[in-house]
Formats: sequence, C-alpha cells, structure tokens
Amino acid sequence: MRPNPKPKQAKQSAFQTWRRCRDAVMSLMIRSSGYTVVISLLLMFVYLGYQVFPIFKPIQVTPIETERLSEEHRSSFQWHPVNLDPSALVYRLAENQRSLLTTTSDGGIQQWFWLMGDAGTPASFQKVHEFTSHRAPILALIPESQRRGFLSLDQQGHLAIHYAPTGETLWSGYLTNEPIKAYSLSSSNQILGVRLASGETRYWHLLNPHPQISITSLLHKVQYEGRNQAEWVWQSAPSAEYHDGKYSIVPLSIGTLKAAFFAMLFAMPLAIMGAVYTAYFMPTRLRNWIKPSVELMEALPTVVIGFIAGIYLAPLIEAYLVQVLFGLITLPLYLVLLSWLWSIFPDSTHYRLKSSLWVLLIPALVAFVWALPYASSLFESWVFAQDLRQWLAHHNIDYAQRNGLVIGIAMGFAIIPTIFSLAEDALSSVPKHLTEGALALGATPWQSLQGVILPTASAGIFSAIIIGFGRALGETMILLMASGNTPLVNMNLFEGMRSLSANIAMELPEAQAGSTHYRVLLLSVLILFVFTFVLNTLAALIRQGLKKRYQQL
Amino acid sequence: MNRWLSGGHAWIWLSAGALSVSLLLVAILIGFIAVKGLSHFWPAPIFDVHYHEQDDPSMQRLIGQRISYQSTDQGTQEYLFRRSEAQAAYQDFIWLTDAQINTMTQRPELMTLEHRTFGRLIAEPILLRLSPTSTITPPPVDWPEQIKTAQKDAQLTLLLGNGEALTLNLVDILEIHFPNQLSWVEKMQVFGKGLLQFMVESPRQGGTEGGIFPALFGTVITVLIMTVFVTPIGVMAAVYLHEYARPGWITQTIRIAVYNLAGTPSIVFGVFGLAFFVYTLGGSIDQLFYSESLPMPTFGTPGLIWVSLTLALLTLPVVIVSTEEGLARIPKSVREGSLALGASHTETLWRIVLPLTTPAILTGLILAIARAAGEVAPLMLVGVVKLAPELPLDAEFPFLHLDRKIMHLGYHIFDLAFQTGRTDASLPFVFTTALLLILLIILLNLSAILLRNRLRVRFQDDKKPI
Repeated sequence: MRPNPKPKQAKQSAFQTWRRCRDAVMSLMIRSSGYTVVISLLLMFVYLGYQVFPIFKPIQVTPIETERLSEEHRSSFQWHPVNLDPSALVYRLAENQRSLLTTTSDGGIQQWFWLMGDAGTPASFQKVHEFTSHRAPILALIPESQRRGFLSLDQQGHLAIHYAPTGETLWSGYLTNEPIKAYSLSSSNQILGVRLASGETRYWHLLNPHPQISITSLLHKVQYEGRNQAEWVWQSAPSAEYHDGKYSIVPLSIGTLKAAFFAMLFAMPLAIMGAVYTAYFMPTRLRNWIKPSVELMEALPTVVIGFIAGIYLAPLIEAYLVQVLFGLITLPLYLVLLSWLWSIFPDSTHYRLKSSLWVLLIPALVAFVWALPYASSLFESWVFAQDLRQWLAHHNIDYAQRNGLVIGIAMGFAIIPTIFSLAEDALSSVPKHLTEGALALGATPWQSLQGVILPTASAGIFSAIIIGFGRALGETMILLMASGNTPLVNMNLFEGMRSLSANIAMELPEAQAGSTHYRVLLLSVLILFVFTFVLNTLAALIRQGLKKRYQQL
Repeated sequence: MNRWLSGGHAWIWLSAGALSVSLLLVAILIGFIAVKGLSHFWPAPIFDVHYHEQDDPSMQRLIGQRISYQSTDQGTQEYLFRRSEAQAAYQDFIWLTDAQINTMTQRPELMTLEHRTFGRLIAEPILLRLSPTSTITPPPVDWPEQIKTAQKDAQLTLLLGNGEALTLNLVDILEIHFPNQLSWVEKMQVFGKGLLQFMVESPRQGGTEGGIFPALFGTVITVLIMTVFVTPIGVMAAVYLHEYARPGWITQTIRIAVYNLAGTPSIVFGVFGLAFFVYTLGGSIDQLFYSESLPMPTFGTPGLIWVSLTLALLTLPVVIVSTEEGLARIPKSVREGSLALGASHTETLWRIVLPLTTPAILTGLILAIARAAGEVAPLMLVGVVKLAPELPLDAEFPFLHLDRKIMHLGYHIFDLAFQTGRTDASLPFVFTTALLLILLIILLNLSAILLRNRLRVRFQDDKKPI
C-alpha cells in the first residue's frame, strides 16, 4: 500500500483523507477475513483436540482439607472397616457374579471370569487379569459405583485405581503411612475418605472421569467379561448388564479401510483408464462433452447413491452374485478379446470407424450383459459344482446382504469422477511437444503413451488416487445406508463393516456432550480429519511439484 | 498378433471400455431414478381383479391401480397392484402372477380419490347422495361431472375391493380422478398436477402421501443463509490470499490448508458444528440472552442457523478456490494501469478487479450451493430432522426463526428409504425426491460450468489488456 502523494488543495485533501481511510478500512476487513479463515481452520483442529484431550488426561489424586467438605456431605459417607485377614479377601465385582476378584497375601489381585468352556467342558472360573501394583497385603477392595473400576488399599497405605474390564491399573501411589481403619467412597466416585488408626479422617479427591479409555482399550485386544478371548470390540450401546461402553477403534478403522480399499479396487481401473482414453485417444470435440458430464457425476449426492445401493443394488447382488462377480472378472477379458478381433479387420475399416470406437462399444457391452447369465451359470456349475452361495456357506464364509462388494461398487462409483477428473488434468497437461516428438520418432500412439505420457503424468495420477482414497475414507452416507454397519474386524468381501464416519453419524446425536462416548467419537473424527488432511496435503505437494516440472519441460 | 501387442490395442480397448462403463452406470442410475420417480405421478389404469392367494384357492377381489408389471423367469407375467390402504391395513402393494388372477377388468367408472383422513382410496363408486332425497347410481355418462359439481354436503358411497362399502362426505374428499376414462392429454395434466402438488404440499401419512414442500423450503433457506455467510468471507479471504498477503511459504501453506479443507470429509464439519457451534457457541448464547428459558435450550440445540454455519464452513474452500482462480486470470497490467492512473487500492479492487472476477465468484457460489444442497451427513448432526412442525419462515416476529429445526431433501431421502416401515409406499416418493435433488444440483452445476466457460473465453488471451 503505497501512500498517495500529498495533495495540495484543502478540498482535495479531505477527499484524499477519506480515500485513505477507506483504503485502511478495506484492507483491515480483507485481512481480518483472511485471518478468520485461517483461525477457523486452526480452531477446528484445536477445538476437537481440546475436546478429546480429557480422555487421555492422567488421573489426579489430591488431598482435600476436611473443612472444605460440608458437614452434610461428610455425614453422607458410609464407612466400611478394612479387612485385616488378607488371605481371605474375595470380592464379587458385579451383581451378575460373572467376575470376581481375589487377593494374595503379597498384595497381588487377580480377576476371574466365569466362562463357558468349549463344547462339552463345564463352565469355570478362569484367571483373566492380574494387578500387581501392591507390595503389601490388601486391606480393601473398593468398587466404584455405576462403573466397573475399583480401588485397592494395602497395609502400607498404598492406593491403586484399577479398571476391571481392561485389567489396567490407572494410578497408584501412597496416601499415608499410618494404619488405616476404615474407608469410604462417595457415590460420585470422586471423594475417597480414609479413617486412620489415630482417629483422624482424611479425604482425597479422585479425578478419573474416563477410566474406560486408554491406549490399550482403544487399540489392543481386550478380554471383556463373559468373552472367552481378547477381542477388539466397539459396543457403545449401553445394555443393562454391561453399562460401560467398549470402545475399541480398531473395528471402525478396519471397516473404514476395508470400504475404501474395495472402492478403490473398483474405481481406480475405471477412472484412470477412462482418463487415459479421454485425454489421449478421444477426439477433442467429444472430450469437451465428456469432461463436464463427469464433473456433473461428481456432484451426484451420495445420499442418492447410498439409497440405490442399499435398497436395490444389495438385493440385486445377493440374487445374482455369480453373475456380478463373473461379469466383473470377465468384462476386461472380453474387451481384450474384442480388441484382438478388431485388429484382424483391415486397416481401412479401422480408419473409418476410429473416432466412433467409443460408440461401438455400447452394443458390445449390451451383448455382454445379455450373454452374462448363460456364461456365468456355466462357470458356476463348472468351478463350484453347486450354487455359489452354498459353496460359500460350505467354506464358512459368511454372506451379508449389505457387504463389501456392494460398498465397493457404490462408493467406487462415487469416487470415479474425483479420480477421473484429476487424472485427466494431469494427463492432458503433459506438454504436447513430448508426444509429438515420440510419434515423430515412429512410436505408435500406445508406445508414446506408455513411454512418455504415463511416466510424466504418473505423479499427477498418484495424487488423484490419494485424493480419491481420502474421499473414500470420509464418505458417510453410502456407508451408512449400504454397509450394514456391523463393527467387524475382517476383510471378507461378503461381509459388512462399520466405518468411522457412519459410526459418528449414527451415534453422535445420542451421545451426551462431555461423556466418554462423546469424546471417543470426537477422537475418531479427529483421526479422520488429520488423516485426510495429511493425504490431501501430500497430494497438493505432489501436484505442485508436477506443475513445476511441466513448466521446465 | 504382434502388431496387436505392440499397438497396445488391448489397453486402448480396455480404457475405452472403462469410460463407457462409467458413463453407462451414470446414465442407468439417473434414468432409473427418473423413471421410478416420475411414473408414480402417471395415472395408472385401475383394474377390478379377482384373484386367489398362492396357498389359498378361495377367490378374493381387489380394486387397484396397476403400478407396474414384469415377466417372471417362467415366462408368465407378474403385476404390482396398489389398492386402498383402508382395505389392506398397510398391505396396499401386492404382487400377483398370471396364475393367481382369474379376471382382470378395466371399467371406466373406477376411481381414485384423495381423502383427508383415509389417504388415497381406489374404489368403485356405487351411490352419490346429492341431498337426502336425490341419489345417483352409476353409470351415467356424466358421472364425473356430477360429482365435481355436487354440493359440498353431498355424500359418496364407495365399494372397496374387499366388498366393504364406505360412505364419505364430499367435503373431506380432496381430489377425484377416473384414470380409466382419461385421454392421453388429460393424463399428462394429472401427471403435471401431481408433480406440482408434490412440490407444494407437506408430507402426510409419514411421508407416504402429500409432498415435500417443507424439505424443499428447508434446503433452499439453509443454502440462502449459508450464502450470506460464505460470500463475503470467502471472497475477501481469496482477495487477501491473492492480493494482500505477501507471497511466501506462509501464504502458500495457508493456501494449501484452505484447499485441503475442500477434501476434508463433510462429517468432520458436522461434528465440529455440533460440538463447537451447537454445544459451545449455542450454549453460551443461551446463557447470555435466553437464561430465563433454561434449561430448555434455544440456540444450544441443533437448528437452522447452525446448519447454515456448518455448510458455510464446508463450502468456504469452494468459494475461495474459485475466486482466487478468477483473480489469477486477471492480467497484472489491468491492476497496474488502474493504480498508475491514481486509483487507490480500494478503488482498483472495487471498480476494476472485483467486477472482472464476478463470474468466477458466481461460479464458486453456485458450486458451493450445489455442494451444500447435496450434503446430508453433517446436517443430520446440526439441525435437520425427519419432520419439522413449523417452517423457519412465518408471519410471526422475528419472521425468520434461526433456532428452528428444519427438513432437508437429502435427509428426507435417507429417512423415507430407511426409517419408515412401509417401503413400497414410500419408495416412489424417495425416487421423486432424489430426482428433484439431482435435477437441482445438475442445474446448478451446469450453470456454473457455463459461467466458467464464458469466463475462459473472455480471458483467453492473457497478454492482451482488456
């Protein structure tokens, strides 16, 4: 902003001042809105992080002065005497009697589950978790109310806070050196009172709002009550019996990746090959039509695609599974065969039909679809010797109506335009003189594509794939409507999945703000956000590098 | 063979095939939706059918509209009939095969009518009581006219397919058609009228009757309010990035970050909208201004304003990218010329740069609107509901109720398709809603593409000053 030259006349000077003011105001407004955008971007990260952070906050145990608690409050405490016979402490952790705790004389605590044996063997108690934070005999096991954590106190005045379902000790430390006579835990699980042998009473404030969440419970297999082995479980719906949610983000992450993987498997070949054809083999006039129509395709609301996939495609695929699978595999082979047949025809026909090859393909495709049922039933009886679904059942492969195949096709369809349009941009902006040079040296169009264009544009195509992958990771509606939303940990094409995004859309409206469930959901959003942000940045950097390279060529 | 390999013909064919398959899929999808959605409004012929259930040889009768038919694997025909809900206790759609049908007659006096409480009835009229003394029994030739000109206190007695007679007051009948008597032109009229009604009526019977006006209205108003937020900030931020910020790695980082926001999953914005806008911002507003009505939240609950703000955040990068592209297309010489003539920065911006960028800004806005109209996932979190009792705009002060919950086309599709029990009855509406949404978005995108093309033509020769 260069200052305007000093005006000479007074009248003009007023005008100049006004102009300068206006300049300043305008500049301020524009700068501030620029900053607003940057700040709101940062705010999204920071705010989500800030909301997620409390679940990872270490537990705080702070002494409270007795005077700070009101008389009423203190009188509401129920005092329990400590157990002085350390070998006999057995504690039923919950009313359902499926889990109990025992202590040993050296301060060890074991957790036992009442488990059904494998076929035939009777149910029995089995040791599942062991807590080894104490060095002295245990005086008391104190269950928390409303949840499955418990506290343990030993003869040396050592306190430990545990969470039974994950078998983790969350905090441990010394409270006092004096012998303890009785204890009391408030119903909010927040205030622990201890009565000492000297008659003194002391209180501690325990800040432990999210005992369920730790790196272990989020990422590792955990053996929950009533289950025979450690598993990754996402089960947020609080049933009466197990009202602590099981929050493993592994099934959701696997579901997200599985869906994205199958979608990419479907979309990548179609989009990239389509882009190659559009950028390189298609007459310009037609290309001017194709590009906008693909862009239009990108704007198709995913709720519509999800609806068609969930209501029509899923039952269709279930009914015609063999045909669909067989078609997906044989269609490329069929096209290769066609191209070979085509090469048998003399060159003059080629020349005459060259630009309308694309149109010719449509009747060929129709013929393919017409022949598909016959060919596939032949194939089915030849390879599987029975119905494919029976074959799957025989080999213990589960089949769900809304499955990976449906998602692969539907979401693949949704991300084709994204990949196509970026890949086409990368391919068509390869400098013309490169191809012309290759052609002049006698290369066939295919050879010049293979040797010159594809290597030059490969980085751009790669960035297109990354962007497409990012979009598949974050897609919500298609997954919500057509994936079955079962939190499974497998890569079976014929089973459903639950993705992070669909899970958020389903559960967040019901989650109470500030609760553990809410914060874990925000954590999954943050993961999605950071992951796609990194992917997109990578793609942007690749594209930038490519642009520079094109300019140098 | 050798030439076939070296020419890469197989690859060329594969790539051509890939493109055709992709385009074919789009065409099939849109065509399927259009046919399914529009055919619902076409007055299908009414048949009087005598049939028996598959496992029960006793004869039954229905009067119903033949919605569609298809051939089965055995080469026989299969028909889908829609009969009156009142007759069938929510089993109003029924598939019958040739073998089940004994007779199927298409008589001219069979009629469909919309009743205020019973919904759509498909029946045979047997008696029209104009007054306590004068009655008409069909079939006189002018039967439709008689009904249409009858006094409102008249009564009509119908015979439903199951033999049950039903007497209705003419006042409660919203509409009457005789599809079997209609000519092709009249059918077109009924079709158009049905389509129009679909757009201007509210949903009835859990979305299986009536229209989608509140959803359409909700979509439009959210998008409009979003535009109010996103236009100034987006345009000014683009101007900042392109004209004011010093070029360097910081600006470049900001630019990449903002562009990346366009690729961020929309659900992320939805969650941020719920957590920050609704709970934090809305909660604070409630405590400051609406503390008397707490704990009933006013703004601390999902609502229109938060939907619009979330969408604004979501579409901000679209506007910024497009505007910056437009700014980059303006030759430097134009700006320098203006400055050299003594214009200040503001004047150059307002009089020279922004007018030239207008098409780009508009393109960005239209694309933003198109994207916003198609989003559903984030909106589910911040204020779109399956049925909103009131429109957000009415005659009551302050006229525009930013705290109300709204309905939305996209969410309506999701809700009708998956949350209602009566799939057969709601599906035609889902298809029509989907078609409407797609058309809306295609229209918006087409206009954006056309605008952009015009812009490209205008600045094709970058070196030449304009």
